[in-house]
Amino acid sequence: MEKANDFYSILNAVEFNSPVDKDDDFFTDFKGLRKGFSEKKIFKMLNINPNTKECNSLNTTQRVFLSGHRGTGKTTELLKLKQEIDATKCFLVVFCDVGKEELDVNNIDFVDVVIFMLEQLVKELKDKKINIKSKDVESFYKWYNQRILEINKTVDVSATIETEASAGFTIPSLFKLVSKTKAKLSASQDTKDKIRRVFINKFSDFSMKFNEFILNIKETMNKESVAKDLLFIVDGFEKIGTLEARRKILIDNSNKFVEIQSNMIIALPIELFSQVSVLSTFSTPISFPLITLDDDGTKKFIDFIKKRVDESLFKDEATIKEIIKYGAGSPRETLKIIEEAYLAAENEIIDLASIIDAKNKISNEIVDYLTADELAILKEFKSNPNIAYSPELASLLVKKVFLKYGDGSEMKINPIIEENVKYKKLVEIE
Amino acid sequence: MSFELNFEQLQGKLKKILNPKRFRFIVILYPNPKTIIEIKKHISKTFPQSLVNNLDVKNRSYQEISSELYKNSEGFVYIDDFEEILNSEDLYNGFNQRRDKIASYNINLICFISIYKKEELFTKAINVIPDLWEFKDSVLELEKDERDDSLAGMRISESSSYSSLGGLNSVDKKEELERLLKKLKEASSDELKLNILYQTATIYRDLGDYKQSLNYSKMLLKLQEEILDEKHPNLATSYNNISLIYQDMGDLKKALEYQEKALNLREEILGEKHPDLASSYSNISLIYQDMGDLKKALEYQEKALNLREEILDEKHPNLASSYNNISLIYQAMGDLKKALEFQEKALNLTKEILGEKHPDLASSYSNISLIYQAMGDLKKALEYQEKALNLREEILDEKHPNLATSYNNISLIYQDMGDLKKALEYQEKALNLTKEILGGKHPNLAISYVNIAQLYFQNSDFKEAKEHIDKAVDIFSHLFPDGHPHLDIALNIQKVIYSQ
Repeated sequence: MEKANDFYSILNAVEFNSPVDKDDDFFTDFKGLRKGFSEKKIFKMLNINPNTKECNSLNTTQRVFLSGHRGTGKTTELLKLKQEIDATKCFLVVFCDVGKEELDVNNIDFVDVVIFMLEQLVKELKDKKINIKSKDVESFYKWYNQRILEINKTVDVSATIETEASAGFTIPSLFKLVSKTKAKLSASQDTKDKIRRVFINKFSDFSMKFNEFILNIKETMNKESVAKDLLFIVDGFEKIGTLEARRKILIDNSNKFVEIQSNMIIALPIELFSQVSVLSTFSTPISFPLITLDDDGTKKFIDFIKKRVDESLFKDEATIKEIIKYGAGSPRETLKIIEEAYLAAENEIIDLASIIDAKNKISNEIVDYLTADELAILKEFKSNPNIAYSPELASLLVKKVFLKYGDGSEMKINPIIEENVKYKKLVEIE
Repeated sequence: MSFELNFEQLQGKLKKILNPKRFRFIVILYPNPKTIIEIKKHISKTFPQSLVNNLDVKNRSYQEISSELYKNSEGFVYIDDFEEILNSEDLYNGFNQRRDKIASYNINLICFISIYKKEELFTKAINVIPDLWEFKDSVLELEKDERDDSLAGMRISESSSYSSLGGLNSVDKKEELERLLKKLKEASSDELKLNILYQTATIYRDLGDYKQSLNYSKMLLKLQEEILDEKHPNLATSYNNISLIYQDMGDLKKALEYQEKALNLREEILGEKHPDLASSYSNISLIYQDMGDLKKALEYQEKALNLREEILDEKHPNLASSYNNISLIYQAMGDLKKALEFQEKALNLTKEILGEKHPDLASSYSNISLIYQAMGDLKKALEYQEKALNLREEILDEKHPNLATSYNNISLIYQDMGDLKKALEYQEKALNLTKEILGGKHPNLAISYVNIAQLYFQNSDFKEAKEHIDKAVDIFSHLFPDGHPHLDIALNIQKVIYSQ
């Protein structure tokens, strides 16, 4: 992507559908500007010295749930973490984006995620040519292959997962087998259900064999000084179908995640953050808040915008600050406002009038579809900012009517909504 | 006051009532279909010259059976499925409207119905055959024979607990045990030790070696308690697994103690609305069921069902599992109608969610068969058990323990039908398969020995009967402590066999 130096290049430059990594020209490091969040904390939890990047082995398995709004920069942060941790040789980092890969995000189950994690792990071993001996693959391979044979007996011939009798117990052959299973998880509902059922019914056995395999990998990596431990970074849950589906996978099956004995950082959708008390006994929930728009935060956002769009394409600095204000500390929302303002602009420049049009359009799209129950919560919020968790509150977080800051306990109404005329009328703000 | 008769008392009553030269209408409530054969044998022996007419009414209209009904002007007419008449409008109207014609024949109309249908008999008969019912001479209720209980065929449970670790047969599992135990000796990290201890305990349980399984499970728990947080969910899993082993061993008090520990910890760390809590309720229910406290068993199983209905999709397989468990409790309570109702719910839901070719469906067919068997409808029982077997043969590994369960169940149906040759044939199939996949010391093998011993005993081959029952007692006494129900049953049968 290139910086927009002329007006009609703005749209391409503010695309927000792909996260940028650390080496990208558009990358802006918001480090230290998210109050309540510190990258150092994650390094320390992983037993990595944040300054020297030296590390010691972990005594206990770490599971971190990183929760923040969509578009707040979680994926960018996680990609940055992967790069930085990869460089330490402390961990073999396996990055799994469940929303991006070929899993059926409209119909996904917990076990799909585990199979996907397994596939990504084996792929990483294969790509990095980490030499896992056949004896360390054999037991897991045999168990897994037996499940596939079991599945094949229950599905139609066209849906069977091909196995190779003489494949040998190697990482590439295991990769092939797991990949084929994962591909079938996007097949018909019947096939999906049958694959899932076999693994769910035997999940304790699955996790035991998977764990033994992980321990074998760790041992080899240690011996060959590849890495001390293994770390899964699992992202993309926000793209999974419904709120209920996300809750089922992450909250109801949270104890099953624990059965997989590996360090994990899991990006948790914001609307589930209030339910993390369920998870807190065996994992650490961390809030990844929006950027606080104090002087430093605003300054950084000005940089962020100017890296993408030349400042000459804005009427003045006040226009840029107005965009930042309504972006509310979210990089993605900020880009969205620029995009809408670009489309609304009468002339070949983004000015305050186009910002107001953009603001109204974005806020109307949300306010017009607020339900009676959601409005009741918004009214209640005026007198009681400590709203208890409910599906409606979760929905308001998903819609970004409520925004979370700091350690996750601070909640504000999105400024873009707060100024909307219809909204004011609906919640009877004088 | 009970009006149930033992077999001797029934013979006395029949002697007073039966008269092949006069019309008689008698209904006999039987506890076990085998007793129908015994009663008929007794009547034939008492009235050797009399004509006998076995009238099959199943799925037939009155028109179809009328010529058979009137083919003899005297003698005995047996209707084994009297329930069919009460449930078919055509039949009950036919019999009721032609009461006087029927009564004009000097026949003894002897109708059999299961004692589990007693309520249905008394509530329906007065409504659907009021005229014929007025002509009844007597309703005789035969009590459940204790001897029948002690000599009842033993069931092999559906092996849902049989793990997938180490392959599917005892040879592979033993090989895997060897690998694991070697690895355990060399293991330096606690993580690896925990993993191997879990796998080892599970495989020992698969092999029926509950003592070793408990031993390794306790080692695992001890290590977990040392290194894990006291609120770690894996501790709840360990409590649950230890509870299951105690249940296998027949130590139900300890099983309950550990299952309650698992439940309490889960409630504390997972909140009140978690699917794992439903599993704990369900497991507690199963322990109460084994204890014979069916009221509490039902209470806990309903708790599990209510929670599952609240938090799971309406098409979730765990709901089918709850229906199945509730059905089993009703079956144990003797309420076969409700048992069938819940089992059919389980079957339909399983079919809807998991399709026509799933192992859970075979278990449902098998459980429906057991209910029909208890109802005395052996034809239907066999039909469903064969459906279960066919499906298992199609989708399971040919060396799967659930195939042996099917063979055993089919054998028990043939035994009830009086076809001892076929019963023995299937029981031997069960025995051979069990020996091959689970080894020579598994409780399921002992169950097959018990059942074969009974078949030989019924065939008056006491030498073979003794040989087999001794093998069963030997296995059970190595596996279980005194007082375990399996061991007690085997010892009782041994006593009966040796008394000959």
